[in-house]
Amino acid sequence: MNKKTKDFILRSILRIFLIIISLMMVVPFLWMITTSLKTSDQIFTWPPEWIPKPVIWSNYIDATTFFPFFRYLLNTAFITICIVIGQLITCSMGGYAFARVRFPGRDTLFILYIATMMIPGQVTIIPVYILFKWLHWIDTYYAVIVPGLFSAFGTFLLRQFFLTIPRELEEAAIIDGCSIFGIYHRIILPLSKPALATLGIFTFMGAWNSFFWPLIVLNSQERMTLSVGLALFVGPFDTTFNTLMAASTLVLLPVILAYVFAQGYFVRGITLSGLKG
Amino acid sequence: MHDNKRKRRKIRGFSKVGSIEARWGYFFLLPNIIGFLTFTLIPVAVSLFLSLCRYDILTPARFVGLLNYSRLLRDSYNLNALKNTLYYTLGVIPSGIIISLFLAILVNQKLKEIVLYRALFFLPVITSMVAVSVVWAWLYDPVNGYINYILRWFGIDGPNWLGSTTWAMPAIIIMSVWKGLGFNMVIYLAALQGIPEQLYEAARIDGAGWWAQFRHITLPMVSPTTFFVLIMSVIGSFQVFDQAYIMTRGGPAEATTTMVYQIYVNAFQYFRMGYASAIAWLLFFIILGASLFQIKFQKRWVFYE
Amino acid sequence: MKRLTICLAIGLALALVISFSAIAQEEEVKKEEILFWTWAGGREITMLESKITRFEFIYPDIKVKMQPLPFVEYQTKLLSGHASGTAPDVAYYSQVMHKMFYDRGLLEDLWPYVKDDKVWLADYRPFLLDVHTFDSHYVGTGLGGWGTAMIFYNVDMFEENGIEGPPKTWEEYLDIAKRLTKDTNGDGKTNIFGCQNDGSFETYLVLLESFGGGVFNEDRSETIIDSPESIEAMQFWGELINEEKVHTPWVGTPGGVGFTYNNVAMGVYGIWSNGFWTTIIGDKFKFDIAPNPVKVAKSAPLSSSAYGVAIGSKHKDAAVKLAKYMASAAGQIENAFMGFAASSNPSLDFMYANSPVWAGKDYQALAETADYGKLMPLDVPRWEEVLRVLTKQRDLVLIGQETAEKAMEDAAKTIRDIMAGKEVY
Repeated sequence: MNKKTKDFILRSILRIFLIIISLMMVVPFLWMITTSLKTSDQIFTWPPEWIPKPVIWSNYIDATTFFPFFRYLLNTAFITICIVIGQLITCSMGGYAFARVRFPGRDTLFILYIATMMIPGQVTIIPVYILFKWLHWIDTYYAVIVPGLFSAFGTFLLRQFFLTIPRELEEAAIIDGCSIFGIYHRIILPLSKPALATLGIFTFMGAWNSFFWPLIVLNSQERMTLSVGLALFVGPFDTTFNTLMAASTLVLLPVILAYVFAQGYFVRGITLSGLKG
Repeated sequence: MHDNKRKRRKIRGFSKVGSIEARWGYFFLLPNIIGFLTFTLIPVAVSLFLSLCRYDILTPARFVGLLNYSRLLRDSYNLNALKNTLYYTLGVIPSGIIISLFLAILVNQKLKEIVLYRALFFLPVITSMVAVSVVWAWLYDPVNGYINYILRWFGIDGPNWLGSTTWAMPAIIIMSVWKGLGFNMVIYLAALQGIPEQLYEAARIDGAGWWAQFRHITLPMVSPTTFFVLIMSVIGSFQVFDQAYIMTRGGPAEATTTMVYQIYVNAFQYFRMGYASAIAWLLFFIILGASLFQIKFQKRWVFYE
Repeated sequence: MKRLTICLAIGLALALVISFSAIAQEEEVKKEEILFWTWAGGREITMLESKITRFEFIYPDIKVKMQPLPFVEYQTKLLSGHASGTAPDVAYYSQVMHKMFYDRGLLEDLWPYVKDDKVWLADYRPFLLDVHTFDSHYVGTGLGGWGTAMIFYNVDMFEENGIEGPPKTWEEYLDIAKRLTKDTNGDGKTNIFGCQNDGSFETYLVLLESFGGGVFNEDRSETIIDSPESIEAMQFWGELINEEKVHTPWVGTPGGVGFTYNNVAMGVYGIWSNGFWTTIIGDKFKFDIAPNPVKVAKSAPLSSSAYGVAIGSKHKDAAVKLAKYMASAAGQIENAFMGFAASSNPSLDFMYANSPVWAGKDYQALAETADYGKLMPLDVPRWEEVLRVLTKQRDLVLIGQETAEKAMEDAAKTIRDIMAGKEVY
């Protein structure tokens, strides 16, 4: 058996593995798609039918007219973009401070950051809610955006990354008379595009799909977000699964697009992050 | 000598250059810290205070001292939830990490269409939870479900997964592992891509087989990543809620009730925010303990350059 | 190039921020109006919109700002609304929520507005007044959302097997179930089941009460969950599943075996399932409802949700008008078409019976339950904790892990502790 044949066999085995695993991963997603194209009486049959007969494209139209879909979409997009940009800025600045700038109390403060991730959100929701009531921010965009601008997780992630950037670069810059802000701006940020893209995609997903907080803090239809809108399809007595799946698929698309877009940076990103303790 | 200078600065922190740096440090940290204090630290401190009160959200809080804490560990619902949460964590973490590393290796191979597989493996992470629970409820159905159907081929009489106090938690564990694989896989994938090819070549020249290469190159080189994934996974899995709530509502007979489920029920159904906060703080100390343990232990097996 | 991208991104963000603050400003200039929250899912939102349009036509000086909210987490949302002083003027509350909020003094007493309105009272099922009256404060105008649990049976499957009609007693129930439990695909495992009762509390009560038992006695002063009758009921149910094996295995989330999949012949289910099932079953098979089987008593647990008016509402009169409208025939027309529950207004019974969802089915049997049905005991203190114990013990019996006797005795012990005001561990 020559090398080429051996290679071919190995590749084929690999491909078989990949296909089998893909099938296991993809089934619920396929169910989403097929259900979104069915009539109501075709969804719950046994055995389940994977091909809708007939194909109902109008479910997608219904999905967007059921609640003010485009308004919610606009709201969610606005909120998410603000949060992503905000987090990238605050976390990179904070992460850099923790990684490279020496100031008293730095390490204790950092441990405090990590520790706060260990408190379940359910018990901090009410205090924050009351704070917002006091600020008259209930049912405003501020209530959703402002808390999202900060993240202990994001600071942690970027700090890990910044720790791996060679100090020599920074020292060279200091010798050249560069200020700390200059280092941040001219050296750290450009080298961190992959890590920033990584944090960006995680933040995007989190903000886009965030449900509980917008639900509690927003009241008016004018400001509501998509994930809350999706939950409107689920009633106490019935759930219109086909339109729900159509709407869910639509809501999913931007996340997939963002993932694909970030893919280029994504993989390289965590490589350079090093992730050393 | 260079290093000694750095060390001294770090310890003292107030040398001339140090104080300029310190100011910059505060400036950089300012936006981050304001947010952290306002939206994280203060609410956390308030929740600590609330844990010492009786508070039903609709009327003002009443201070009761350590009453909630004395109840905590006598409450059999909590002990049960703690047991279930530990069970869940131990089930999800090892298998999740090992399998996602394996998947990362798989999608790190040089095939033209490998990018497609990377996207497909990530799908469970972003698929709607409704879709996931409907499909998995089908899979787990004791009569018609596909899992028991396959088990029958092997002559095994599959259990009543979601209706059995023994098998409900394993069922949730399996589903959660499945859902989380893509996430850790991507993190590992990046780590793998950072391993220099030369190391493998050198090993091959020395006659090392693929297992030896894996053990002596791959594993140590990704160990920092493993550490990160481990810490974040522990923090996450101790706080599991959605799956248990959606698939089994904590049942059957409290077999899948988790700590956060307890917090949720006490806070938003019994209107006992104070007690719920105390449960949250108990959970916090457990997670903190587990994390500190891992941090201490890491020196043994995490390999830094 | 890179600079350009960054500038564009910042510019875009700024543009968005500015346009949104402009829009936000615009919203401030609004008419005085009442705030109305309701849980709505599925088709209910469109129903609500047409109801509101009609209401605003009848009362031109009132504007209603409706917020449909997800059913999921609705209670949490109401909680935070009341806690922060942004409670809606009128909102839809479940029976349990009504009691909870009433206990904390958050709901208006509507009796003064209703007691003299003979017209309104005449077309309103009397028991609904009782459901939402606590200490003679009537705090919610019940709507056509009253419900109960009844037998659903697969008419086609019954006919094919030569079975006369739905069971009238539990012995008949068992008998029919045995005849209809089959293995039709030859793999040695049953794949068609005779019966399946759902996990709702209504169904639980049906079993208990039809055997002469229950959770509480008449005046709710004692728990009777450990009475011989209650135990017998649970034992019967457990045997259906674990010994006779004519009832589907007891699971948390139903999977591929169920009434709607045409592989279960009958069962006791909440009647709200009718609307949903009619849509998802379609033409696949014909089904109907029937009164619950009897052991010693006819049973139909009655529950309802209602509209309540918040204390401190700045537009109380308008809010009360809306609450009353929603519960009157004028506001219930759409419900008559959707048929998710039963009519709170006898004048609409005719419409319900002929709605797409109830046509061809025994709506009359449902309407009659209002006469002999009993209110569900949802207004006892610490109801949520009681429910949790009841659920746990029921599950233990139905999965065969505990005898009915021990389980119900454990439940009774815990419930007595709760009733005595003790902490429950």
